[in-house]
Amino acid sequence: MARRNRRSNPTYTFIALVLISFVMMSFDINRSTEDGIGSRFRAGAAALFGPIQQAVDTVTDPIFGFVDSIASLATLRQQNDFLVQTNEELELRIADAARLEAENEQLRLLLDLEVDTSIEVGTEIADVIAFIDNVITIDKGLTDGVVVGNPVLNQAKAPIGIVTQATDNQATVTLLTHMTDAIRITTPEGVLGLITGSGRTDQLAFEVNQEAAMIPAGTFFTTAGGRFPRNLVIGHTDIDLVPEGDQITGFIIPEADFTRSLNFVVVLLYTENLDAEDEVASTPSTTIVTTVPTTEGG
Amino acid sequence: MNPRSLPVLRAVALMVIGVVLQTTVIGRITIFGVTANIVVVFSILAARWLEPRAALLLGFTSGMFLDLLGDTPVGLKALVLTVVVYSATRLGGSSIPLRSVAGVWPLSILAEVLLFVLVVLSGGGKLLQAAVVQQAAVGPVLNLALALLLFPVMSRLVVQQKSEPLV
Repeated sequence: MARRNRRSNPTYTFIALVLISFVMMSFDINRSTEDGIGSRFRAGAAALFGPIQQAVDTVTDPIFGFVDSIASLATLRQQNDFLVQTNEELELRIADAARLEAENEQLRLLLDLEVDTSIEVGTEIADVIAFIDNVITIDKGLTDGVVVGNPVLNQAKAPIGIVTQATDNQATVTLLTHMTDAIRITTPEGVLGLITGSGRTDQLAFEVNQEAAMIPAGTFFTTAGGRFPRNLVIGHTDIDLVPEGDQITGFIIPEADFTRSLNFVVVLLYTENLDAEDEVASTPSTTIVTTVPTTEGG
Repeated sequence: MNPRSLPVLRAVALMVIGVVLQTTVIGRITIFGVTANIVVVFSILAARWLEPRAALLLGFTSGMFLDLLGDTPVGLKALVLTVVVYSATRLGGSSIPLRSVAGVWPLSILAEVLLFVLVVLSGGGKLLQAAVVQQAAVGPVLNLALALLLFPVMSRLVVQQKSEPLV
């Protein structure tokens, strides 16, 4: 009877569950992203909950879309003014770039060079079916060509994250705001820097570990190869980023609005090219035009 | 079917619904950048009606599913919810209403603190630091509001199961 009492004591159950949790955490913290027992369990949970999440998402998506559009009315005017101003600035820069491109073409012809500077990147449009812990779950997986490491953009083609787990029919995307791995970015002047998540939805941590001049407020940062294809606008600074010694640290404002819920995302079927990374590191001024086709449906 | 297992089955069903709602609906609704956690609320309230061991297993399992569907190491939220449910079952007495709605607030704070400590230990503390105060201040209040809404539903579905001891 005493033994039965002991077995029914919740403290023993509690201690056993705590020990199990610690053991599982220890195994999973050292997990690799694609194999290991944790990943198998995750795939199982995704298979179990995925269809239910998808069904609920189908019902709630239009409701959230409607509520979001009403709630956003007040800020839309302000955003519109900002976008008009940004558009004018970008048009000027495009005109400038077109002049440089023509000049570049002429110089290439003179030097008789044939350089293919475009990278074709396939895309997959995916529906966002779950949000948890600053990661999102999308309804496209390995069978659709989505693999770990694929960059992900929002509706406006601004980078939002990287695929960190993929099962047959689903994938998990870790958002830029909570990424610990650095992403290589550059300024229009060719200053190379790195960004990581800051833990906040309105800023990304930024650092330059080379001697560089001050980066003025209003500077836009673009991806510089590696995890993301080059030349995607990733954010801008609204303050002057001043060097301290041999480095510049600070925060930049992400181009993507992480405070609003996402209905669908665009997955670039592109993975990090380590050879290209070396090339980028040695020749920071190299320009590769990345073409993102938009015709493919999800 | 054993009539004592019926409330447990209902609680399990509610927990599955809770995990689905958390990942599809609640996770999208942010107030001051913070989301409520319906699974924490379910676990604390379930401890009021279920046998302590059943409540512990339910909390552990739902935490495990949150870990598996999210990006935290497997076992982290399971541990947090196990501790929270254990606190709810052991600390609650007739004079201290920790098992009821009012208990959701302090136990949610405990969950946030424990989550932060464990995330720091697992190497992800830098990202949580930026929003830890906001999360610890707003999260428990949101959970409390959610508990006020869920309490009547749960009290109907998970009828009082506790009766005489097994022996």
